[in-house]
Amino acid sequence: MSSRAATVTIAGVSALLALRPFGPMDRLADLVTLPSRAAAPLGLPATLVTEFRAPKESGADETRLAGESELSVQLEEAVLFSAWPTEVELRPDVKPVVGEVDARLGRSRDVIRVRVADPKRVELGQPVVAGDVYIGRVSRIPFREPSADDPGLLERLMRALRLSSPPLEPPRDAVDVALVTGADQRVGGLVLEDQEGNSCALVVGGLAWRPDDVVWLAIHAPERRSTSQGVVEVSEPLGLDEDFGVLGEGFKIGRLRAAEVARPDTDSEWAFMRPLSGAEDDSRASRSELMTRRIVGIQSYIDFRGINQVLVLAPSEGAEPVDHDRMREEMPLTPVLQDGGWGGARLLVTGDAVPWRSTLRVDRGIRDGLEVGAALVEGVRLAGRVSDPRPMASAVATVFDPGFSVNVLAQSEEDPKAPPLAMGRLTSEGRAADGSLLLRWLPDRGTAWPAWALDSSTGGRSRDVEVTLWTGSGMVRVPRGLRIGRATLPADARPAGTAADSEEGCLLRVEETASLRGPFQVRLGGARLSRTDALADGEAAPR
Amino acid sequence: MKRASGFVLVAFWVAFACALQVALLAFGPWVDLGTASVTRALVPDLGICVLVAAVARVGRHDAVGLAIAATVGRAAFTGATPFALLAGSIVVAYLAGSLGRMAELDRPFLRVTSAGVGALLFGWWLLFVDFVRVGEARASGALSFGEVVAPLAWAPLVTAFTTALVAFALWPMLRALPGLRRLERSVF
Repeated sequence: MSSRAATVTIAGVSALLALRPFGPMDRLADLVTLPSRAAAPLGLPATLVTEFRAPKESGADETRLAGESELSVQLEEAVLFSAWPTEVELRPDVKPVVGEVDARLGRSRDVIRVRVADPKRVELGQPVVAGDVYIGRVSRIPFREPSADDPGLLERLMRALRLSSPPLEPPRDAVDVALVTGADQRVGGLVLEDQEGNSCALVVGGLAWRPDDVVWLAIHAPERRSTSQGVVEVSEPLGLDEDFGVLGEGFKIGRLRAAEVARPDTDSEWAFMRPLSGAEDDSRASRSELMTRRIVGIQSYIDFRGINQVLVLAPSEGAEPVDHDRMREEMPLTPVLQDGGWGGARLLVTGDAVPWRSTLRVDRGIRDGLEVGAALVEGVRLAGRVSDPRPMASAVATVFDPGFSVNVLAQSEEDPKAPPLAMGRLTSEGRAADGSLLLRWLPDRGTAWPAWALDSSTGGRSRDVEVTLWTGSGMVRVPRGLRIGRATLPADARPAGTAADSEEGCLLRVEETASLRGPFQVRLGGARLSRTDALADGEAAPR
Repeated sequence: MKRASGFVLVAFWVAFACALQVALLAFGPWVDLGTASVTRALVPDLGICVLVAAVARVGRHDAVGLAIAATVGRAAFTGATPFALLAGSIVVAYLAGSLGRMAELDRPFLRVTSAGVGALLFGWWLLFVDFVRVGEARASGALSFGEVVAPLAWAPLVTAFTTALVAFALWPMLRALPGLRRLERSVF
């Protein structure tokens, strides 16, 4: 092969590997670039300049850290309590199992993975609730499923040569919950009192068709066709012995609503509809009348994308009624930095030679157990996530790196112990000129924001709310309760796509973020460790 | 051994250049998705300048070796993946080497062209890698970092311009960096 052909081949293969990463080759590249760590001291001037320019805050670091740690504990307490019902009374024969939402798997929005405190008591089909709201049922317990690992001859040979390894066993405490939003999910419902004072039994499951992406649950086979208003509760009185549906009786599903919505008004659809309708002319009035449709659906009380903490309704083992108040008070609560899953990290270089990225490098790497996505914190503040772990050092995308996204909980500054607002996933757009963090928030339709804003305001009028932003559940190797900063949520924020706001949502200016000065700690374990006693079942202790 | 130490020195000079570049960027506006990042792009890509100067001394046949050395030097100062850096560096080195075969890269027009076009291709390549990887990660629900929006496409153009200016002004110094002589092959 000529030198020219070899060069082109190497460039082509490198380009392919840059676009389609391949594990063993990445490891090889890590080894080749290992000496680059020695160049880190050259980055000292950049680090010093960045530290000098970072916005300064008043007060001693120790005092601030103590205050923020206390707020984090209050947030955790509020989230833990938010999973417990306040209006609905738990049946005395129900002994709920506490669970925290883990990282989402794949793209499915209708299944969430939950890490439960007591996996032995969880069974398939048990109802799952968040506060007073029914959200779905246990659909899969991966650890109890037979292993699908059936290696062929080649795979066995690869394993013998240590070139391959068997798939990891799923965590013992992980269960999958199929949300009621899933197209194949059904739950019995009952409207106790509709607009005419009648009750109406119906079946709920999947999403109602809406042309405007508003999230409404679909109803099926309603007892009365005229029912269009009222609160819908779970009602499954005909549960069989093995059916746990009855345990969720009385939990709310949402509020039944009706709306006239316009169908997509295209010429081709009109050409199809006109002969069927018998419309006499092509006027706008007759066309719009025909192209509207009445939709009846259920508006849920919660934002399904922002679920953090749930209860699995499992039956009690004993005959005695369960003391739920005591269970709630005795829930284990571990401060986020004290669960043993953290290790110190030293800053090597701040800044990136690529002008549109904001990254830094730390001295911890794969050899220390670091993996992609691990959180890097400064005190209790989130500084970034590991984007490229290498053997002896790692690149970290900071919270200021455009595109950095994070699940966020907003805690009202006026009442830190109140249930926080699950804001969904916010995306960083970098830094403003004053050094504050810019986060793009797209309030989802079905979001709890308007109601939460009212609760957090006085006098029954919605107004801007001062909040502290924290990480929420559902991210790989990023625990809940890490501080992102302080921001003001505008009262006029509306779900994306509505007339009142643009498709872009709103841009939040977040202050008191991580300064990127250190000292840092990095997450060496998963998002959740001992926070719900998951280690009690024989899992390896984190390093 | 002599040539190996030459490649090590190239890696060092690229690392030094990137460290200087990161320090200059630290004085600039903060990173954002709009004009600030384009303004930050006024800082020249000094690593590319060193690479092109090394190619000018050594020639196209060592393009891969120089690109690997440049990747090792640059990897300490960027979150971009090593293979993205390597592919970009090979293209820049090969381009400069090919131009150098037509005429001496020491000529102002050629050194400005090779450094400017090299920086432009390198910047656009890194943007393209981010674009593809972020797009695929979003489609599959996987974790991703970085964001590419239309205004950022201008940033490599700005960098290319300033890089070309630096190559024009500082060429004698870049050409005379200690260690490059070790890489030259004797003709006789």
